[in-house]
Amino acid sequence: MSIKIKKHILPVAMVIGAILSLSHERFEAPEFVTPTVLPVTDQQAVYQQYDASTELTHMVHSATAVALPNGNLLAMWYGGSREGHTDVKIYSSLFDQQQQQWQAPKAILDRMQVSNDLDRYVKKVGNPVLIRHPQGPLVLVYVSVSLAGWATSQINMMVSYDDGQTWHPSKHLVTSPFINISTLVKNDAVIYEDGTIGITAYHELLGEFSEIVRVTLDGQVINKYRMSAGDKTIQPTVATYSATEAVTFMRDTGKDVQKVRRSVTDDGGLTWSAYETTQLDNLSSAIFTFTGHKGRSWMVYNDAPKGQEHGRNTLALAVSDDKGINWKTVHHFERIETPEVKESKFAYPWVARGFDGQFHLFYTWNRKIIKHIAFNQAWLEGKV
Amino acid sequence: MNTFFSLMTHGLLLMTVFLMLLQVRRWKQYWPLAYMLSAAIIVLPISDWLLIEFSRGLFTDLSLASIVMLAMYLFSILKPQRPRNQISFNLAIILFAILLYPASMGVGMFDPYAIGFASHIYYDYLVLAIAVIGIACAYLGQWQLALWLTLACLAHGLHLFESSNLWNYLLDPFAVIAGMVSIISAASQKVFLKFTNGNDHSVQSNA
Repeated sequence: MSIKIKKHILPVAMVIGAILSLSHERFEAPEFVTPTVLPVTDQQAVYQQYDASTELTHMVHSATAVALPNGNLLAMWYGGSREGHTDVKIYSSLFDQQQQQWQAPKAILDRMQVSNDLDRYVKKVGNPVLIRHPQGPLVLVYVSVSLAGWATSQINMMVSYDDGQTWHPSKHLVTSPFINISTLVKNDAVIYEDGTIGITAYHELLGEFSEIVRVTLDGQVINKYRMSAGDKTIQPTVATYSATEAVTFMRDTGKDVQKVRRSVTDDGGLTWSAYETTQLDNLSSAIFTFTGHKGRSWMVYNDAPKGQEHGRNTLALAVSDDKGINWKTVHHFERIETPEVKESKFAYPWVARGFDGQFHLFYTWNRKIIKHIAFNQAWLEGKV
Repeated sequence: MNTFFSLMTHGLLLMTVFLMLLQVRRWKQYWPLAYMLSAAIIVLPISDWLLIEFSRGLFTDLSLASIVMLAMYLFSILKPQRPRNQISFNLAIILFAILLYPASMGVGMFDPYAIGFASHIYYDYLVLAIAVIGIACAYLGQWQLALWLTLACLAHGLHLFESSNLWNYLLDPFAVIAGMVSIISAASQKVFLKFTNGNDHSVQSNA
């Protein structure tokens, strides 16, 4: 009798395990929330420049920002003695819209705090990405590394219900089968109709590709959608046009073509087309796209052509009227006139959309300062 | 809860490594001391972390394949005849790794890892396939394979670790390496025995 019972223990346990696994919460196919584009009401073009960071740290990089309901802006970046050093922290600063100035930055997260939150060793932190969730909270996704270089990164998530004044402890997101390494973030997320978040992520170890990691607001990973194969296409930036239609542009880390890559979806990001090559030069540098008035797509990028020694000596703005198929470069935020003799680095652009319809560009200026340029739709339209 | 189970499994990993390094078999009747020493080492603070927190930081949560292997090793380390992994267990781990790793690391547009999330359209098929294989193995006497799949399914169902993906409960690279080493070691031992027997036979013939 006991032998017979023993024989059935594992099968019975397996049936219980399968029932429990099958009862996990399911989420519907994704549908995008498209950003609201306000009509052009300002006749006067606005274009103002600020420094979002101070020289509190020797190095700053990878800015992110969101607009707050009271009109202020919240920006974050990472800074320290050098990139990847253990003293690197994530800094935050607030732009007071009434006084038109940035407050002194303060460190909000370092590797020790992350380590305490996650109960594990953490070597360094980086690449913060802020997300304004339509239900109110702010979400911060950032990269942490425990094993080796950036290619072994993992991503974590924090939520704030008071517009960034306090943050709930970090949650570690498991997104890869290979000791959970090599998921990174850089660009803005997409939001789905059911309130879930599509983190635009990328993978750098062995294959270099882009993907969307879909998570709930409480940090549960619920699905992943591959955007490109492991072929030198990272840091996706997504422009959504309807509930199901979106275009992604990706940084080209290869040495052959060196152009921005483009891929489309018509099923809410579930599947993406094989990528194609755009006209925009890309010497493996970060890009950022956003949509504006009349369905136009805009892109902030480094427009150094193939063969140029210093690929980040310019920071340009391009516009497209056909969802990113054809582009026209219309403005340079930064341009070194003699690029062959002087190296500068204008990198990692990010554009936040204000509730008043203004746009706010942030980028790393020579790894010293986070620059902030505010412009409105009238200024953009004037460039077309 | 996730943290507790995760740190426990890293304790298992580190204790096994230390007992191997300490060559616990040579401690004879003093073996409990070796176990106590290993248990103390794994919670030693180094800098700002315990050793098991280092391990968790570097390797994240272990899969049930690794945990089953480690537990087997740890509980049998003193027995004269160490139990080996069943060949079906090793082969299944390697087969799963071939199906999972290349594509999930970027070969092609299809990501098999995503199937392990409950919202994926093929998730139910994956769970049912694992259940059917696990139950069949239990009745066919492949107990190690059945134990691995059953514990992985149960742990995932109960969400014991951080991951919500079934693949993370099934497999990790350490289990794959151990499975490969186990197969190579078993095969080389077979070849060695064959040669030894052959030589013995030839010696006898000559005699």
